[in-house]
Amino acid sequence: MSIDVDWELEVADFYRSLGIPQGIGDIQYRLILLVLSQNGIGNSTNFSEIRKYTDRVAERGSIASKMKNVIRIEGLAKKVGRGEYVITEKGLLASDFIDKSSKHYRSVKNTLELIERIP
Amino acid sequence: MQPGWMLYGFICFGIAIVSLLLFIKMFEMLEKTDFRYLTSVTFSLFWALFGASYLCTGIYIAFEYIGASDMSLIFFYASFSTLLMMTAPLAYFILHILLGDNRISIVTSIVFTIIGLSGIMLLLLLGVEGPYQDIWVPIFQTHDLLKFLFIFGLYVPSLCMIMALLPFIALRRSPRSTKYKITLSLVSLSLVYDFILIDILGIGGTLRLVSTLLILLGALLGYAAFFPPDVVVRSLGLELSEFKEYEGEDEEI
Repeated sequence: MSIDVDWELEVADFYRSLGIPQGIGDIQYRLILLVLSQNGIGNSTNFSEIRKYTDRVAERGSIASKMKNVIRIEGLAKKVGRGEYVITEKGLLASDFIDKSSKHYRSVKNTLELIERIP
Repeated sequence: MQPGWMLYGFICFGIAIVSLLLFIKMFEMLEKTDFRYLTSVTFSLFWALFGASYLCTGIYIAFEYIGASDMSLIFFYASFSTLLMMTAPLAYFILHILLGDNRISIVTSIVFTIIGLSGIMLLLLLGVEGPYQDIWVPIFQTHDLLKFLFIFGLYVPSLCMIMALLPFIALRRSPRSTKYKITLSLVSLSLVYDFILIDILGIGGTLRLVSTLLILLGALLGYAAFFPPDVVVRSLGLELSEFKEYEGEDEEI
């Protein structure tokens, strides 16, 4: 499953507009967890792999800080080497929630567009 | 000549007046710059065809009442033909709302236009039998093939399209006025389509009268969906209250 950065930005913008700036409304959080979960629970992810997606939306330092202060501190991923991370079970739950938030946004968007088309 | 015909004729004229009024009012509101222009046009066209069909039905009953059978037959053909054509604009209206894709909606609408035109050709080729003297309405019987074409080519697909729209609206939290408008217009379309079948099948008796009354109810609901009476607006609380932003001091924390 590929990660569409534009789509993730749109979804994060939507949740931020609802007053949810953290978690599902934070594009950095979304992208980091999606990249980590793409590799699965037993495989490590290189920091450069994460930056392939996040470079468009945030600086390197900002992502590193997010990794340290949110992702690792909350136990969503473990650092297993220099620039190497592995997602935890809790992290998979979070990435599952991100998927659900995308589905919810898609359904809201479709319904709002549908209602707008009614004369 | 039956006294019930006059009552039935009046109901048909009632349906025609309500539908054509809805068409005229919606047509007046059209704005070419509005992105919903085509959906509004097709929706009003649907009600125009529906109103025209029942106007012709009323006229054919009136001609039959005064014994002008030739004219009666011509208006029956006109009435049936417009009924066959009204699915085309409805298909565009519903599919465009559902999918938002202009091309798919236009292609589907063209398919229903072709089915409608085939129906008119069949009507002219196969002719009708009657009129049979029912207590409420002089009934012309169309060929079974035409009934088959109407049911499976126009009626069933239309009902499926109408039903497909309902869950989107029913399962979502939205302002009461939006829910009211959409639900009522779908219910009205559903009522109208459901009971037209009795007309098409040429069923007589009290069932025909009741079904036509329900079609009148459907047309009234369709009108009320877009132009709700003040009583309905007040009792259902459809008016959106406008609150001004408070600019005084905040509460003390």
